[in-house]
Amino acid sequence: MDASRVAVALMRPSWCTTADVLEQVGLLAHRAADVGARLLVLSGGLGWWPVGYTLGLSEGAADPYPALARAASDAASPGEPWGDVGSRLLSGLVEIAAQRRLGLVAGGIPLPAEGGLGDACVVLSPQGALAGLQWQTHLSVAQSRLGLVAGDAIAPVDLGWCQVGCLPQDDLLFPEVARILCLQGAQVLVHPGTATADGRGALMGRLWRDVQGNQVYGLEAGYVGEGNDGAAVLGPCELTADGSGVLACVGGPEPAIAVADLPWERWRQVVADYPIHAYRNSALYQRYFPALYEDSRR
Amino acid sequence: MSGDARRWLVDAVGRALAVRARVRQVRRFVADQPPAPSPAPPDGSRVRVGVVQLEAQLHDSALSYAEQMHAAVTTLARDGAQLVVFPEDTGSYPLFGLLPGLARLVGRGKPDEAGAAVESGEAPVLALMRVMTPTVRRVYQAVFAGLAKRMGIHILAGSTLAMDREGRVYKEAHLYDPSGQLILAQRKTHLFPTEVAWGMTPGDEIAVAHTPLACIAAPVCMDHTFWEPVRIAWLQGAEIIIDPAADPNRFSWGLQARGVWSRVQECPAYGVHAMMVGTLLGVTFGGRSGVYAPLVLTPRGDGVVAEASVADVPDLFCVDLDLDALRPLRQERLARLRPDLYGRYLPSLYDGASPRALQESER
Repeated sequence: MDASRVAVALMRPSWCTTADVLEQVGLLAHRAADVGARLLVLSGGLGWWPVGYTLGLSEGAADPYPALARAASDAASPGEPWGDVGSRLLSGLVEIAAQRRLGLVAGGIPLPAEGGLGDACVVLSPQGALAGLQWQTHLSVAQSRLGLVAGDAIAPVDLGWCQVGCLPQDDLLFPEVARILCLQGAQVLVHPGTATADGRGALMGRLWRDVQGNQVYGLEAGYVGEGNDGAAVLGPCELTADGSGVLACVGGPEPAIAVADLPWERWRQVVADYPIHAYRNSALYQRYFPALYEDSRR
Repeated sequence: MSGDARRWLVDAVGRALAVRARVRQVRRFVADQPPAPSPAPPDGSRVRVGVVQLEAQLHDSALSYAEQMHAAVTTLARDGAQLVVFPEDTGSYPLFGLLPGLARLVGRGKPDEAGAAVESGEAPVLALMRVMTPTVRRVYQAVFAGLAKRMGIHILAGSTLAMDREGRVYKEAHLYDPSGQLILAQRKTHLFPTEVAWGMTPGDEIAVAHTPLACIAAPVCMDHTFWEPVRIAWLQGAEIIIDPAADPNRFSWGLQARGVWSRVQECPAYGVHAMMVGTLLGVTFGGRSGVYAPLVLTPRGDGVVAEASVADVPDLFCVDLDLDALRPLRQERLARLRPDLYGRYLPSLYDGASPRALQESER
């Protein structure tokens, strides 16, 4: 496999129409396609921006779920505001992917799921096909108040040139998810994030951990902010000259993309030189999992 | 050399080492030291932790070893530390200097010859460890149990060596309480590649110690490369997760942050990372010790509560941990775990799973 060029987006959140969301996505997709990227990871929460717009919200788009939960609890029929916004947004994203011949990952898309409404992370192929979908499995309190249902399966998505593992929203907080994805073959973890550029420490506290712990690549999108680390392409520390594990990053007050090539040959060498998975202690894990999870709740 | 002759030689060297170590003299030295002012009594809310960024030194006498450890403990105890933390290997390789001639062999760049001198075989370092383990363990226990009792504090004394009846050698971290009792013995469960090559054996258990200060766990160094052992400790209640470490590299924040700093973001707890620094037996250790916490509990939002003033050289520092601030985070995260989901994949996915990522990348 040759080096693969990928991009991550830094987006400006706002309560806006579906058309406005797609316009912002279209501009960033254009830039990514222009530089030869084969995959662009968009920020999270996209599908909820039009919902907030419908509800007449004016503030809180940078942290959408609590604001929406408050608004939904005030609404007479809380299931109504999102209607088919997720489906309409998805249709628009499919068009952009096909038009730009660019793989797209988008998170925070409200779509009908088994048992209610779920929060989906969708992976689109450069042909505009839905390559896969990952429901968020760990909901926040605000998302639960919105009435969302959590996903019950974790699996990577095959894009042909790589296996992508999606970590929507708070799934990122639980290292079990990334491990399950990587043990099933994920080579690139993606996090359509909603964090602002709030410093290198904060960046490393998110997807970076899972990238290092599984020796894979990571693509994290985010929201505009003041710092330089809002969206980043990540890899094992050994791949970077400064040992940071950050292959590219972007921040600032304007929507932008960060672009990097994923050097597969070097990555293979890094893993061969220090194959941490060979040093796992599976017998230890077998001894405690999964019973200890239940015991800890008693 | 026949097997019987080799065993006889190993026993003889071990007995000679025990005499040379003069453990009784070490105990007397520790007992004769003036006590530090009593630390604040545990209140379950705050813990003052002292961290030793220890200079790696090869000691040819147990007394000089005790003096080095005493100096560090005393300084931190006088600063009010209720818990003092030492790095990995504190109670092993520094005491290999008790073996006559080892320093000379190392000086010639041939540490393996020391092992070969006592037992010919394919794993001379392991042979050396087998000979040294009983002695270094006795000295280590005498020093740290004694210091904990004398100063009236808890001490996580880094790690020493342990050996079972079959001759398997482990790394083992010890936690002593203020009465000098050993209350936690944590064997390293994930070995560094070099340790695997030497023939050491990984532990198969993660334990915690419920102390009046807090619930404490101490997986060792490489254990923190993996979230699993730390999750196991955290699920058993660990609020202070100690990473006694000895990293054979110069300090790099990225590489170091892959350890307990990352783990306490996933398992809300305080992380204490104590590093060995300097050169010992031909290996140069580096790092910057630190005390870490979930990002939201740290002043700069970077997960760092306190750090050694400088990397790669010896240092000591103390810091207060606010357990009351930690506990709501811990409860919130605990409540959101999905054992129903994990149980569908783990631990079965571990079976035979070399990561498929590499295989897939060949496509």
